[in-house]
Amino acid sequence: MPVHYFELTEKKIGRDLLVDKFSDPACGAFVSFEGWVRNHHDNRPVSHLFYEAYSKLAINEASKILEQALVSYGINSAICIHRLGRLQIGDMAVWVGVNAAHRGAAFEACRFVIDEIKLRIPIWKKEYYLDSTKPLWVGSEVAG
Amino acid sequence: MKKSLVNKTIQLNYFSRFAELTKKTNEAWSTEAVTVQELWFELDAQYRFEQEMSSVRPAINHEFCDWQRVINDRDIISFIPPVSGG
Repeated sequence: MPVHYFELTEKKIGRDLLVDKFSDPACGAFVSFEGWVRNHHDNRPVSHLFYEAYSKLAINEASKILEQALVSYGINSAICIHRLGRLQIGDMAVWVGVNAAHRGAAFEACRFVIDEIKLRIPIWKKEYYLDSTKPLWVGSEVAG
Repeated sequence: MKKSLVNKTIQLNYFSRFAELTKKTNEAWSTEAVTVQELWFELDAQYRFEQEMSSVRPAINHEFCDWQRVINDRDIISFIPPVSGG
């Protein structure tokens, strides 16, 4: 039976435990995406990030995205986990996994989920820099 | 009685840059605004968000809504600045 799951967490994302959830004899394909914290943005050296979310709205909207992925691509399962709080360079900020009978649907659905999560989910990233630049809420274009 | 004169008390939740600007994460707000768009103009005049309305999305009771959505007493309302998850 198709399943989907979304979670916000302040704890490190453990990919091995997540991957184990996708074991299914009917599925020949598993695709995952990991978003990691980068040490630069717009030619500025990034020291760390801080993520915050509007949790209730994020969970409601993410559920719609994952449900849409299941229906549109005919995949079996989709899971997305997003970190909150302070993250260091190299930390995993987001993890998406999907499984399906065949690889085509799995690749496309995984891409769809991460693209829509980035576009629609009320999560905000504040970047802190190693130079004298003030911290910035990414997307709002005003230093704060 | 004109509909616009009906006073409502709502809860506002602020996030990200809007929370920093208002220095609040939430507040009770009394308003005669009929739609969320009217409420946005009211709040923008109060707090000067310096954010194009076209880059903001309104939400009522933990769901996105359109700008013409009518406000009811005790609604929980947020204006969502540009998101940057992932």
